[in-house]
Amino acid sequence: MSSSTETMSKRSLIATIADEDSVTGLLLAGVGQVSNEPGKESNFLTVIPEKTTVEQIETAFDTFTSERDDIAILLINQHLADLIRYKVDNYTNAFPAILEIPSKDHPYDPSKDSILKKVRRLFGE
Amino acid sequence: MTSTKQLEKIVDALEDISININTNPDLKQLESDSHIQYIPKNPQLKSDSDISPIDLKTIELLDLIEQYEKLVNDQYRLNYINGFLNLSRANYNYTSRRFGSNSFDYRPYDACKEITINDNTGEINLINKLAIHQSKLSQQKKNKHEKKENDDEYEIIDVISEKGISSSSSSTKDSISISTRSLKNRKENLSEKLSSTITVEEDPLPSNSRLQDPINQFGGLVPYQLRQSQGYFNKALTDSVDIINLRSRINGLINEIEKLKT
Repeated sequence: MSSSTETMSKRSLIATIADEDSVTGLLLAGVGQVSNEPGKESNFLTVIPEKTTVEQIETAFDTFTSERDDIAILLINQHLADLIRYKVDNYTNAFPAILEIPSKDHPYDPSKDSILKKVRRLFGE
Repeated sequence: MTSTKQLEKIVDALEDISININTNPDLKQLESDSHIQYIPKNPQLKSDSDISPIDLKTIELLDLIEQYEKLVNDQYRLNYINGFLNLSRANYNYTSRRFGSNSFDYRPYDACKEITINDNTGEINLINKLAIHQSKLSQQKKNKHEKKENDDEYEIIDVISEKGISSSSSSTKDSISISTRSLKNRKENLSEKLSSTITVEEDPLPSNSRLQDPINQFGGLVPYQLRQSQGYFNKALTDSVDIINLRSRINGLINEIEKLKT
């Protein structure tokens, strides 16, 4: 087994950076993992308004995308991704794959969908 | 003669047919002569081999975008909305407690849903480890139950054979001893078979497995709205994985089209 295949096989978890209700829902779906291993205590960050800072969100983003090698997908609320837009847009790695998910107060907005923006740019709109 | 000539012309023209408006003046004349309406292929339309690679990839891209838009605007969006709605209902009905971060279990446990990545295509698949674990447990229980039933049968056979020997007269003792020997042989054969089947089975699952239904962290008795919310979020998670796969394919095609354009 090549090293890249080994790296890919390690990536099996779904990480989350979202508000309380989104994290609750995704934990109900079974994505959460908690361990005593240092650096891999949990794979989710609950963002509480006026308590969680943008720096904490940035740190969690860097941890899940660069430092940890067991994350395959990162789910982040669209309105939280807007707070760290420069980091999200400059992220180019294939894995972990980043998906912006809707929240209770910010439902899915197709005008903010990055892939549809890219398609419109391709067709010259 | 004119009719055969007309027929020949019609056969030649009918080699390629499609549903399009006839703009060819020769064909119009033929149509008027034969009083047969036919629809020849649009001469401007190219065959598949004449379509440029960019056009082929653009068609594929448009198909994928259609699938993507259908998915995100319908079930993906609705599953999240319904998940949040039912979670809010559960919180509203249980005013004494809130199903949120205060209830999260921070004791070590494993994720019930995991991802596998296809090395060749890069496609992502979602695996429900909890469902697999529960099916293995139920299969184990079933096997244990079957084994227990067979053991009970042996006991019954033993009891019958013992009773038979004690109550019979001396003339029938030989026949009974033969029958008990055959019963014993049958038992031995059966026990051999069972032991072989047991060795083929998988090793028993550890009883302290860290896989648990995540709804249990919110208590033993939870409102049905919370279970409904869990169902919707399960579907939303599956949709999210499908969306990621579609996005990676769309990205790949966009990159290929941009390369072909330059």
